Amino acid sequence: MNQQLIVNDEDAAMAVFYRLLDDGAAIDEALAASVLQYPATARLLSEAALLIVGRVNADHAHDTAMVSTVKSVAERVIESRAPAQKRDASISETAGSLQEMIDKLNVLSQEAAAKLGIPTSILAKLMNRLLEVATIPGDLLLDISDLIGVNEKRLYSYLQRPPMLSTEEFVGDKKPQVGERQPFLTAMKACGKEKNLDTVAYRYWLKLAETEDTSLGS
Amino acid sequence: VNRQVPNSVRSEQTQSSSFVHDPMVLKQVEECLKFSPSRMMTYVSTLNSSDTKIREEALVILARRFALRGSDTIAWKLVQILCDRVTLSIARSAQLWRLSPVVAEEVIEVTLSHLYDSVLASQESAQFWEIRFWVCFDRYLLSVLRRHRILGDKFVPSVPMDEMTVDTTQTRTPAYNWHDPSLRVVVAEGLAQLPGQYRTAFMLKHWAGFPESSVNPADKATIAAVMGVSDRTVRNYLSRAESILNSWRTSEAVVDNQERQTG
Repeated sequence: MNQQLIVNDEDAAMAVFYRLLDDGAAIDEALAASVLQYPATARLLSEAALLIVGRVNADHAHDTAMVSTVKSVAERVIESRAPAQKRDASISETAGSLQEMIDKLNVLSQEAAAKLGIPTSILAKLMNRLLEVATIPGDLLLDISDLIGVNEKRLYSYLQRPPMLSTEEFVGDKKPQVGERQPFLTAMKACGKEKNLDTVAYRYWLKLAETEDTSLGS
Repeated sequence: VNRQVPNSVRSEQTQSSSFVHDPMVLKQVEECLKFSPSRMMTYVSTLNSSDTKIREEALVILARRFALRGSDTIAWKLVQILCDRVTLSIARSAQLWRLSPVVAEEVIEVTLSHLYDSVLASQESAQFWEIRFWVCFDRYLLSVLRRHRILGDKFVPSVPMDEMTVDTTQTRTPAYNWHDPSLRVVVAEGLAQLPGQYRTAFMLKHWAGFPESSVNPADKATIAAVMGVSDRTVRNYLSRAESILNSWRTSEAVVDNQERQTG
């Protein structure tokens, strides 16, 4: 992580200037020292100095019209860059490698469940697609996708597919049947808290499931 | 003004232009990564509303890391925090350079879009955002202002500066004590209106404390040497800058008086 990064003179000059200011130098001292070191960037440094002085001008802080303009444009840019809606029912991409990752997660289910702060049985239901996807807290899906290293969109499309047979269905000689999908909160309350579970995380998911409209990314 | 390069600056740069991550930033990143992504976001939000804010560089590192892992939503949320942090700065800059609403909107949109693209870019060059966020941000903001010809680049003298007569009445009888630090904030808006060369010369003299020229041609710490122009050109730049600033001050005083009377 801490490798050296070579930058051009303009970046280097600005970095020196800002570092001096961070260290408590007055703006005139910082400007003089950085121009001395990088004379070819004198104009850029002067403009940067002006930018910084302009920022601390208390009068400008009260320019509410400009602040609201900036905020509304910022909101527009942020929205336009938002990841595509994950709850789009039309998503039906194949998930070959995802299935492998899910399998891996199932093998490591105890450890994975502990990391996520959910009971093992809930993780198993989730991976067998026996939970109503819309009721699963978006943050939990984020954590799972991060844990198994897949894009949230792919995880969501995987969970939307029809439920799978769980191993518990293969008992005796009766024909195994695919279970009904359950709301996340109902499943959590039904299974109760496991012994080694992170209590804080468990309560967090319960609270989220109770309070939030679990749209991912909202 | 101390016109020396402090040793701290020299030691930070292992070469003339190579930089490394700040250890404090790396520590913050390490702290954040102890949590699951969703709880990390709660932690970051909690810190964001406290005095011990997470540094912008740490947010950049985290956003880039999560984007690489494919956790687009977390990466997006982290960049959103960065956008919130820069909003006021852009607003003040737009005000300083007196941008019209249309130009201001364009500058804001281009700058924030660039922030998203750069922070989440996988190229190595984008790594400097992890090391000096505000340097990258301000450099880009200034380049956008320059592209919109807001930084006074339009100025082209009709006669070469070297051949102009210096208006000594302006330079010898300044209307202000330009060395007064409190005045700098007041005149920042006036300086923002100056053509680029005038502003640079003016700030080198009155802020950085550089002499106009030196009898010793080897002396590099003069405005003439730094800007690569003659002594006479420097004097012309300064004279004209002060003249424009005096006019600006008069017009500002008129506006102030009008506002006082109507208010």
